Amino acid sequence: MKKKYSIKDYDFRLVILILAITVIGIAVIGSADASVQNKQIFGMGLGIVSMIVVSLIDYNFILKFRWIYYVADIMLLISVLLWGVERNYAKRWIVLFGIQFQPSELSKIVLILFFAGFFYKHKEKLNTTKILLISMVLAALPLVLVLKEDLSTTITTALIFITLLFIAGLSYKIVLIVLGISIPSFAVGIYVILQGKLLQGYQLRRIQAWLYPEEYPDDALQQQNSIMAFASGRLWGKGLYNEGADSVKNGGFISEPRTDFIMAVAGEELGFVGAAVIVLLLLLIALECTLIAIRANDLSGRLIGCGMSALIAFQTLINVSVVTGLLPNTGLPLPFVSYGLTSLVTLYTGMGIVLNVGLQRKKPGRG
Amino acid sequence: MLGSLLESIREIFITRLGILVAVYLVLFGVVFGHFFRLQIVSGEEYQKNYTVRTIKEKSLSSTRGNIYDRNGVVLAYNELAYNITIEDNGTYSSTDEKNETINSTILYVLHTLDRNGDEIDNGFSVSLNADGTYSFNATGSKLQRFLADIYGYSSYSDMGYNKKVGYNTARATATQVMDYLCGIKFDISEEYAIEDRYRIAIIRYAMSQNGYKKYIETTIATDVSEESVAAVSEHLNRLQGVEIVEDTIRRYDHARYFASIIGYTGKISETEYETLSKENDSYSLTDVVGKSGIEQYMDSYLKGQKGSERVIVDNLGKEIETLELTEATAGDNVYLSIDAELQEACYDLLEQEIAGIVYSKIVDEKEYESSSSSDIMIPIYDVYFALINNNIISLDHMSGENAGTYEKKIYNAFSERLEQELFNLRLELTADSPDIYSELDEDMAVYELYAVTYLQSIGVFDANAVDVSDETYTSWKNGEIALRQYLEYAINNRWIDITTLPMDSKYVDSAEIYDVLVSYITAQLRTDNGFAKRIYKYMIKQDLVTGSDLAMVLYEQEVIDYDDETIAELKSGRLSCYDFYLDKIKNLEITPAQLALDPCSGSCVVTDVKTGELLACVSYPGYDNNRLANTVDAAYYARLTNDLSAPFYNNATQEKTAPGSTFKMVTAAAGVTEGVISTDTEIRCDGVFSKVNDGPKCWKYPGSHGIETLSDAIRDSCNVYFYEVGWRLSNGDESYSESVGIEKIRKYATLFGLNEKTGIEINESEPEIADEYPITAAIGQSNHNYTTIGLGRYITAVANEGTVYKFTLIDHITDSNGTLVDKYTPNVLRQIKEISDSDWAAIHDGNLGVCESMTSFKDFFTEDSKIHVAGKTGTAQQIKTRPNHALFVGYAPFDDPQMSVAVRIAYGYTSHNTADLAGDIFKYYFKLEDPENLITGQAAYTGAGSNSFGD
Repeated sequence: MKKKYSIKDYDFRLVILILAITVIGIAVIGSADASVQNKQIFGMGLGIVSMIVVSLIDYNFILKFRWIYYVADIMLLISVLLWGVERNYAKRWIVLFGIQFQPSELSKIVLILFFAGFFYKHKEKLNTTKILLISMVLAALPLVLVLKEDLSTTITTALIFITLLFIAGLSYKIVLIVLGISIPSFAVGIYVILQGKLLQGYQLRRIQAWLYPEEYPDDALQQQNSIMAFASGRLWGKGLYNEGADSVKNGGFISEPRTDFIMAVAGEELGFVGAAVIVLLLLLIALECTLIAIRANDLSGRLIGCGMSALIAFQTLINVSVVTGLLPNTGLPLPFVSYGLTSLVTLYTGMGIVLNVGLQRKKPGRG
Repeated sequence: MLGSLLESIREIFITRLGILVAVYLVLFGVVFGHFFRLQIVSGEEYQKNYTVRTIKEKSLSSTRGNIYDRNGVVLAYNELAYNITIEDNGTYSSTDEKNETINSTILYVLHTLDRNGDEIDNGFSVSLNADGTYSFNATGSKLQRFLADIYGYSSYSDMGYNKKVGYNTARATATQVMDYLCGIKFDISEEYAIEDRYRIAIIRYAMSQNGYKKYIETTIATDVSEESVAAVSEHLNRLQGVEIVEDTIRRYDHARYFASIIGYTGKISETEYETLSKENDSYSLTDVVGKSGIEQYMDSYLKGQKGSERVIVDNLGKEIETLELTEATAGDNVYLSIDAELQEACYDLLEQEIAGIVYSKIVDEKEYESSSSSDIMIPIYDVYFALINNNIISLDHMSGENAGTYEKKIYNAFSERLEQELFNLRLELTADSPDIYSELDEDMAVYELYAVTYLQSIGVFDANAVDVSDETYTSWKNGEIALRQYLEYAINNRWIDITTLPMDSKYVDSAEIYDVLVSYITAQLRTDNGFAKRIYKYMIKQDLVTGSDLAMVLYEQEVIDYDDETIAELKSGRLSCYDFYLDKIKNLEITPAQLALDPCSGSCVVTDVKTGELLACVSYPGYDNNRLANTVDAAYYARLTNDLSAPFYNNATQEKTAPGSTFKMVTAAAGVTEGVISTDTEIRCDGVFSKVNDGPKCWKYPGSHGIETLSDAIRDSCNVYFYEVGWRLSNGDESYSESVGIEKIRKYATLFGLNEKTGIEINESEPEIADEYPITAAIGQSNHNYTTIGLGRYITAVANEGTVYKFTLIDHITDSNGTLVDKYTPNVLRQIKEISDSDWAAIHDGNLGVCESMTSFKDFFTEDSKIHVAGKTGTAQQIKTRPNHALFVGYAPFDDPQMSVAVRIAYGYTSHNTADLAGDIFKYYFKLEDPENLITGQAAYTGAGSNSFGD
């Protein structure tokens, strides 16, 4: 099914936002760890190509193969558990055809596409127990597989799923019931976690360290140092690539400065202004995706837009909250900014699909 | 219909999207607000905290100054050394991982050190014994402090039952301490060998002690070999926190010659820190300071000025920027007034002379009964026993795993004998009618006496509780009762502290206490080295351990170099055991200091008589101060303190004996100056001084000197002449007054400076001028007591006609660039004006006569000899059962004296020996003989000449 796209429907505003945030990210990576800067530039190039190509493919065509993606995704996640590579105490990477990548990053996009198709197909019966149960099970499978090694991705993915379900038209009655159940159970869950019965090892300690930094100095240190770096940037920051001895980053106190804690480097070197610009750009990208979702031609397009929007927004929020101590320490990259080719290329690809949704926007009067 | 339906669906969607956007805005709003709070509101505060955290004050240690001799020969200097250190600077996700990583890292370093023969620094209060058990090597408050530190209490009094470990930590055993450290504290794998576990625990504990101070590394090993440095640096990247640190260690060249003067350095002790920091606040608890000798006395010059540095460090403690730097200033260099070559020559000649005396006195006998001090001989069996008694042969090595064939043979015989003797002792102690002490066999008597002494030394028998007037005690002392009676009496009188005995209950009767005591004694003596030596003594006497077996052990323990030929001859009997030992003693392969028989020590002081400078100040035996500086070699230190030849005792400055006839110039000066004699006065010697009852004899008795003038009397060392001077000084012919006489002698001894220390910078004993018996005091007996250096000052004043100097060992001090800081010259303490020129001449003539008439100095009085020497011999008697002390003081050239020599060999039999030695020193000093002909490395030939004290 060939479609005719109009160049004026191509959302260049979104493209510019994406390119801008990626360039800022590359600049900060250069300061955090110059050795990987070129790789990230290469990743950006790869992402742009992928985005342009995908943006020209009809998303409905892509959605047709949703079960293939889903099954492939589950298999990848299982293979990580079996043959994954460990880095920084977490087994999240896998080597395929000589390339090392992170299936959990890919999994988020796959789930957006899958449920966009799935909910579109079952939109009439969405609020039936059967469909709800099936979708729950389908969502739970990858979540559980990711849970052990990557709590933060599990949380982000769950938030995306909930967003999709909500946007797809989950009845408010159910929403209220879920909220009524989940808020108290969340509280209970936290309590159980703190008793040390659910989470194990580093996950539990990180939560306890966040709540009681004095008692877990080693674990709290990473976040304490990150906050110190971030805050010490003040209004204008100490400047990218500075060599000052007053820099927390130069003192080597920021762990993972190029990936999960890149915001600490950005905060220290670009100050409040720079940090705010980065987060603002990411918010604008999320809002732009929502805008495309509003104008989408059908429910599946709308869900794709909202799903990507939720991915960007929630992942950004969790990441900066960890860096600035609002949430316990969990490892999660900052979209478009953190170093990591899997994350960058999948995000660009996802954005390509969103752009295609924008290209097929609902024309006034045709509705 | 359809349209409106779609419309409403759209509205719902819009609303739902609206809710999503609203959620975004709220959450992002919270984040922005948080950013603002952190960066704008508190940003400055965070920056300040960071800066405080990363600024570190460091003290830069200064290089210690060198010590040189007067000619710039380096004696003490610093050498670059490498230490291996470890710092806990890794990040770990769990304690298990941390323990595992650090422990395996240390293990790797340990095995590298082992391969290259390097050792860790071990100041730990628990020792690992050869049999794999642990024991404390500290006691008292040191042990209490140690336990409190181990279990993390701030003071010992807080300690008690600890729930975590399940026992009372205040009474923890060494094994419990090690189990605690290897277990819950540091989690050291049980798969490691016990020695590795022990050493890892020591290092982990040292690390934990340093842990609260950030960026402080713990030293694993000091001054390691290049091989270890290479092996460790190759793997540094996988040895987390391990570093190779450059350091300097103190080195002493010519160690044994100078150890008695220079001393050594070491880590400051707490008490030293307290004393030193009162004077100077730059000392810190990690400093290295001088511990004795010049190193200690001149510490303030040598140590230099510490520098300081304020730096910014990163999270690994690496410096990234220096804010302030004050460089350290190297310490000053100290130049001694001693001439190193002369010092070494004197030491070697002294050793050769002492060896020569011992060599000439050894007889091929089991025992030797002597009638007087002068005819004492050394039976060869005493030499055999000396090998064991002074630890030349290591008893520990004999019983150890690496023992050789002969070591095992002797040890097996010993073990059998030990059991037998312990059985006999037990039998004697439990017999119903035991033998009284004086009726025991000699060996059993020795064992019993040792048992009592031993009980006193370990505090079981409280010697202070004994009433010395007690009847039973007196009977025991006189050997009139049996040991059993004495000990039972001691128990009843509570002289025995039963709390020190292994007893179950306090309420036991004295018979039971006695049984426990007997078992305790036999058990303790079984492992006691002192008791073992006594067993060996009688085994040697009874030929159960032979001299040739001991000779083989000397080879097995590498005390002497392996030599197939000699061993074959010895085994075949072609070489007698007696000749074997004589040969080894002659070649100095076994030194007199090792044997520690009489004589085993000596001293020599050489001065420049024109300036009063000290040119040599020798004490034999010396020791290797390299092994005491830096990290203390505890085993070597213990060996030195137990060495019967007392190497730590400075025989030149601390040992005191009567001066014997070397004192006669004082008496002569007193006599002529006080006018009781003149240089022409003739006094007749009949061999005995008969003006007092039971008159003292001349050394020539039953011979005599006949009529003598002052010069003759000094030449012949005529005692009767000087007794007469002493008599006249005491106003003897009118009304003899001891106090008048002694006062006059004291006055002249004082003029020569014999009443006070010489002023040198190292430990010196206070001399004592005789205060009784002016007649014997006149010939240098009575209770005179002088050091060799004191006699050196005295003979210097005799040589230069009355200038008494205040001595110093220092010549000058320069800073590290060589600029003179301070010049030391011996000050003139006194110029003796009382003695007239003609009187001096008479005394000097006497001195010349002494040397002229002795074969020791015959080379100085040939027809073409340009340098004549003068002096005075001295043979002093202190104990009749041991040989006399030998002394000589002299100066040369006679016409215009430049230098003086004072030598003493305690228990050196006769002054001929010291005269021979002085003759060699004169020859060496004036280069009259090729040094190679003098310093031969062989025992000196000592003539058969013997003379009694007072010659």
